[in-house]
Amino acid sequence: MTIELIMPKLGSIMQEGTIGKWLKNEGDKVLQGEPLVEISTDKIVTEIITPASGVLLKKVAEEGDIVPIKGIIGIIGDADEKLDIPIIDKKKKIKLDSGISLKESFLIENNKEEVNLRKEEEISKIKASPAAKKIAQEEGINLADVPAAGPMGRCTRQDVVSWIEKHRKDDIIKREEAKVSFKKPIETEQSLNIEIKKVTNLSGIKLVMAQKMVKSISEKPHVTLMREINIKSLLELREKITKKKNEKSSISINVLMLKICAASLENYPIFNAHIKNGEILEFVDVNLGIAVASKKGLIIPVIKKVTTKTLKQLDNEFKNLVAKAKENNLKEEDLQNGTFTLTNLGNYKIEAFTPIINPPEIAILGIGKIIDKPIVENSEIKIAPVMTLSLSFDHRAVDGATAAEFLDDICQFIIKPEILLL
Amino acid sequence: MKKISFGKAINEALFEEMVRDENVYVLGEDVGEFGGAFGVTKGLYQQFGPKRAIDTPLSEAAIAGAAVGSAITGMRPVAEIMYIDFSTIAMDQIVNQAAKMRYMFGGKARLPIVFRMQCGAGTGMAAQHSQSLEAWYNHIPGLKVVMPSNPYDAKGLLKTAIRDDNPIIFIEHKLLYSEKGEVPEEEYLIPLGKASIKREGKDVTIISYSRMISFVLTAAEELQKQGINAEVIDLRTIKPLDEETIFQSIIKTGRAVIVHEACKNGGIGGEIIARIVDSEAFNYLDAPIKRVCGFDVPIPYNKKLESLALPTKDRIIEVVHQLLIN
Repeated sequence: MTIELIMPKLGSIMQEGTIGKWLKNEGDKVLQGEPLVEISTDKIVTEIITPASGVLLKKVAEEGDIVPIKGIIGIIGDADEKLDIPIIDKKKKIKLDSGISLKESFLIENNKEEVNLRKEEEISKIKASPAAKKIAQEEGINLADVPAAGPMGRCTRQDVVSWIEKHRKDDIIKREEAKVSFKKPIETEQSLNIEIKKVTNLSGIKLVMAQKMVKSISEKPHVTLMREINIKSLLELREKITKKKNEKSSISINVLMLKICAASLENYPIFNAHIKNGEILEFVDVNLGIAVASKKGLIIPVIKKVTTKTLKQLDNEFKNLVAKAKENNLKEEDLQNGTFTLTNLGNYKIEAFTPIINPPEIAILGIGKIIDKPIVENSEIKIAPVMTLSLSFDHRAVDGATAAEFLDDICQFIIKPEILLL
Repeated sequence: MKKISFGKAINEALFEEMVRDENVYVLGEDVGEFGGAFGVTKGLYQQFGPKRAIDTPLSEAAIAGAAVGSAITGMRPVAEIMYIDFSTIAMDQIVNQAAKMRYMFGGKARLPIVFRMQCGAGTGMAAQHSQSLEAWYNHIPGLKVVMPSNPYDAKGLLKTAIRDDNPIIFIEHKLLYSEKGEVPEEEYLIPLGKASIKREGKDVTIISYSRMISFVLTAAEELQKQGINAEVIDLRTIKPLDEETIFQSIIKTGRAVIVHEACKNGGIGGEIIARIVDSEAFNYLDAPIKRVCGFDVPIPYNKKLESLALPTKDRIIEVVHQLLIN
């Protein structure tokens, strides 16, 4: 069975869309939910998602073609399926004037018998109950998208409610934001006079990251506090633990910082929280995300219930998650339910930076490189290992003084790590 | 609480109001010494005498005319029209006189009349003794229309109707007279224009009145067994109509069915539907509004055909299914 990929109606006034880049070739396997082709209107650039798994049998419309809404863009089917309908000669330009839709011209081209094509006005009349229409209007939903399951093919209130539940509001917001953030820049000047070497489309993890970062930075008033701290005691403690346990490798600074942050978050629970719809939700568990650079992009595995785990357990779990992240083996649950995030650029010789909060969390702690520096202690200049912490926080949820106190609390643990034992 | 019949409840209401106000009197065919063709006025003649329980000639026009005339002079007549079918003969008095005078005399005349009429099919009395004509009276400005479904409502509504200064068409279904129900000893009144929710539900609102209420409640029980939760509204008063109760119920359920014994064409159901679609409740409708009514035929004499001409429990259930199930 073949499935037609059609030009969706993305806005109430949208009449047609322009085909952008095809992300798959004819004959490629396609999975349901995968982006398949880019389309653009005068307002937005977006991707059409594959409606069903199978093989892309045919690209009916080529890059640059303008296709009216509900016009066929492509055909998906089974691998061994042969298209029983002859395809339009590629070179022949499809005429879109005189009100003939692409679908009509497609059928005419193929000398198919007259098919009862509904005119645009008829399509716009949707069988729906007044209650369904009311909710759809309130929620900004196009009833054409909602499958009707009511008597006589009528779309009922229940159908709309179910549809809304299925397509959670968050998704709608996410999509809206994606549309806004990836709007093509308005070409006010003449076309670029620079030779383009390569065009990369944002997709997968990178697309998610881009969306999240845009959401965070546009929504959250960020403030970053930075503080340099002598880390000598913490390094000594680490050495003692390593020697005592005869371990081959020492516990990483990241793991020690996980433990310290968890302890401080218990003292300052406002940072172990999400902010959502004007509400701050503080959590019982401390679930710490750790930013990891994988081949595919930035990924944040989460270590759950950090306060209940020993350093040894945390070390194992951390190593395990990092390994999984690098091999792209992380499961959905490894990435969920974080309450606070740590990000370490020490390996990259960065001392201080301004991390962007991982929404909907309230703060993120950046860890810098440990560097031997001259410090003044008891009026003497000494050399000591120091590290800079960069705490970015959402100023809607907390103020600078509270954040400074929280950062100080973390520093106290670093200066006197033995109080972790208390 | 004591259980009495619908007929007895009306009798009690008449008795109590005649005791309370000496201007209240009953008139009609055989309502005096005999106690009424359906026994509703029993004992009034004996208690209040021939001047307050008046046997009239067999002339509905005369009964209605006498009621109108005496009402203008300050009496509060309760006129019995033995069959609503016969009220056609009294139409000039009811429609042109009773309903209009208060308006035409600039409010100087009051017409505190209750026209008690007995209606409905189901006893094999054929086309001229079985009609339901409430829609006719509903159409006339200046009249109120009351149709109780049970003894408690009948008593409370009749007492209120007798105390009302406007002409009221009080319609009693002939098959309800022997139906029993609880009625309190102490005095109570039921306001006109206030429906009663007989059964709460969330899936569909069934609006009805008079004898059909028992059909609807039986259907609702059966629907419940199928997992369909019907709300049942007993209008009690056709006019004034309790729109608010209807609208609020539909806002909750999203679906409505109207059930009445009177034939569908030009019936009360059409008026109710029009008001619903013209209200806020329209936005909450999740299905078309349906009617289950008597068929548009004169009521047949043949008993089997007669029952087929009227709404049945099964027809009510079938229509609810149409609204809820594919």
